[in-house]
Amino acid sequence: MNTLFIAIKALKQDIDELYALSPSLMEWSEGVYVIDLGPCLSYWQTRAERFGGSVEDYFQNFFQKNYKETQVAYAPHPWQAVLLLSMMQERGLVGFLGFLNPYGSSIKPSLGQTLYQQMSWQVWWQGVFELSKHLAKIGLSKASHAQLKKDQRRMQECCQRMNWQTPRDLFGLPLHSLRRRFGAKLTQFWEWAFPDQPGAHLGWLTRFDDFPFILRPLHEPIVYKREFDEPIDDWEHLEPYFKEDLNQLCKIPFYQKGMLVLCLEWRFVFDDLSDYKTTIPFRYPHDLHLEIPHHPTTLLQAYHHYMTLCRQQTAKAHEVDLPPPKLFSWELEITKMIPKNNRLLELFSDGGGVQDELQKLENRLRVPLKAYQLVDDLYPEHAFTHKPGLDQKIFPDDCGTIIHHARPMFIFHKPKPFEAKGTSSLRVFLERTLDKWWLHKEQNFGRDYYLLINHAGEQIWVYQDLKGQWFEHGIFA
Amino acid sequence: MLAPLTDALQPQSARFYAKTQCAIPKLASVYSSLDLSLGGGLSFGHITEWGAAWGKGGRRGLLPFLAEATRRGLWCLWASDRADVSIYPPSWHAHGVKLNLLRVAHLTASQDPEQSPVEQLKPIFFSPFFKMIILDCRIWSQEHAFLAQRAEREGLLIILVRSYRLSSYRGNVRARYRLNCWHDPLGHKQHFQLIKGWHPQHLLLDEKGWE
Repeated sequence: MNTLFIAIKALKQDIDELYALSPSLMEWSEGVYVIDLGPCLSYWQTRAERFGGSVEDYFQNFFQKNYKETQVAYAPHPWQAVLLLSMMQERGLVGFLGFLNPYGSSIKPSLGQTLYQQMSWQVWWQGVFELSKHLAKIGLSKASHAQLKKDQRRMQECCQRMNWQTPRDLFGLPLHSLRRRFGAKLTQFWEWAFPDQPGAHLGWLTRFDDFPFILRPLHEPIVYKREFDEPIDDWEHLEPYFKEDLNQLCKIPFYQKGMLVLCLEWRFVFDDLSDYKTTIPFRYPHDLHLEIPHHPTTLLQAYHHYMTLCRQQTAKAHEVDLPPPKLFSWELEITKMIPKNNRLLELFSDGGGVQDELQKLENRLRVPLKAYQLVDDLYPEHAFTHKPGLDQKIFPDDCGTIIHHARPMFIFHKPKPFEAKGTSSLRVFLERTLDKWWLHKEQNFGRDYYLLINHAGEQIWVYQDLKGQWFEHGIFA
Repeated sequence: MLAPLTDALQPQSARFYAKTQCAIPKLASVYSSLDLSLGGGLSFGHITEWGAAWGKGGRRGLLPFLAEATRRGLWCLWASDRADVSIYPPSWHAHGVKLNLLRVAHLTASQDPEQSPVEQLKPIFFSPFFKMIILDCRIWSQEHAFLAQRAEREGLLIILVRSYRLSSYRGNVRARYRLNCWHDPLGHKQHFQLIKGWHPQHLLLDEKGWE
């Protein structure tokens, strides 16, 4: 899972502080805000690791210390988060409640999940009312709106007739039947709310596309435009101007000291009037003010992006036998940033600067550095991750994993079919693994792993499934 | 291309690096007879060339060194430009490597021939943060001098993994040490052939003792 949504009932004066969590914030209704943690999630995960807990624990501590009497709900989908918040309001509960996936973090459901399952029709219809208002804002046609109203009435009548006490009572009904009876929109709302419906695809995690998440901007656009007296193209000529413009950006009143930049947009106009834009994302929020006047981090990232663009331009120009175009003007805009919230950052400060130094270094690199963690899963390709999901159980680094000792140092991204006929019979049995039979309709994909020496003399890690098919899965490099 | 932006790569926080700049001239493995032959282990501040033909188990010989480095709390970087494979961290962990101190860079050099791996990782070499850097990728010949200079200046242990067997007759003059390594899965032995920088010899280490 790669994002988390927080719904919070907050006062107007607290809003600026909430932007410190993420620049993606939406005003759901009077005093209720939804925050998409996605753009900063890896940053918060890193900080939570330093704190020695999960993101869930990290934010729980933050909200408990700073927003004691506030209602905060979190969920993997914004619709679930606002519904849970409404449930908390209905029951008069305060605190930080929620869940990371529809199945809960453990076999025993959390309080947030239990509360969510008991959602009343009143909460549901109130949510649908707000949701349809937001859909209208982003262009839901009048006809569709009227149809939605009609479907709502039909669903309400049906609920009374069938004595469905809560929206959860519809669980188990085939989605196509719901769609036929209550229309596509209402069914989609229901699917967002209860994605663990049997038959629903596991891709529910990424179904945010149609959700009307209307961003509430934190600031006026922070842009600096430069026009050159003469067209230029060399990085050596361009670099001082770029530095100067970053310094100018830092002087714009909206961009105050302590604001951390997530993303810069660099838009170019060339002398053939073609225009291009490139985004300079920082892996970790970056304070431009700290690097005045030389801006080494931004400069390195800009350099990589500019060189890539130059290569593309040169290749294009080469095709039509023209010289590559030169730069005429550019615009530099801070598109995403968060205010630095010291209460949030220092709450769990470990006092060490190692992670900060690493983050600074990573911000300067063209390639990302992957950090791997072990996952509580004995299935070979699922036993590790470099981007832990919020709900994944991570093994501590000192935990013993003797089973992996005989496995290879390198693994193929996907097992490749392997033609075993005619290959060396020199193979050593290593282990037998069982398949996750509960995830597939087909049965019996257990694997017998071998070390095999192929014709090239390479020591490869192959397996034979119970159907007798051979696959190459890794290499003892 | 290594020319521009050198001013952008100025040394960072002296206070922080003073802590990590502890003088560690050698990095031992967990295997005493190997360490004895290597004169105490692999040397920081120099380039070591590691001949390990792909698929012959030679990279496995690096794991005890990585394990020791991470046990000492040193940050390690493994850079690879192979597009079809990724490292299998559970196996590395089972060999003693602490994954929280290991970072892996998957370089795109094989897709973009104009981008050299060293260029993509350039800021790393201007910082003593990663004490042990293993480059399991193609390195352009003009970059050897740069790497040797950075290794010496920052006290880094840089290992260039070559996907072929190294010879004692010719090779990279910038590499202070050279050795070949491979694994014999049937005899359960790890072979080390020391070529340059140490007394030339062939070491045969038993897998049981090795692990």
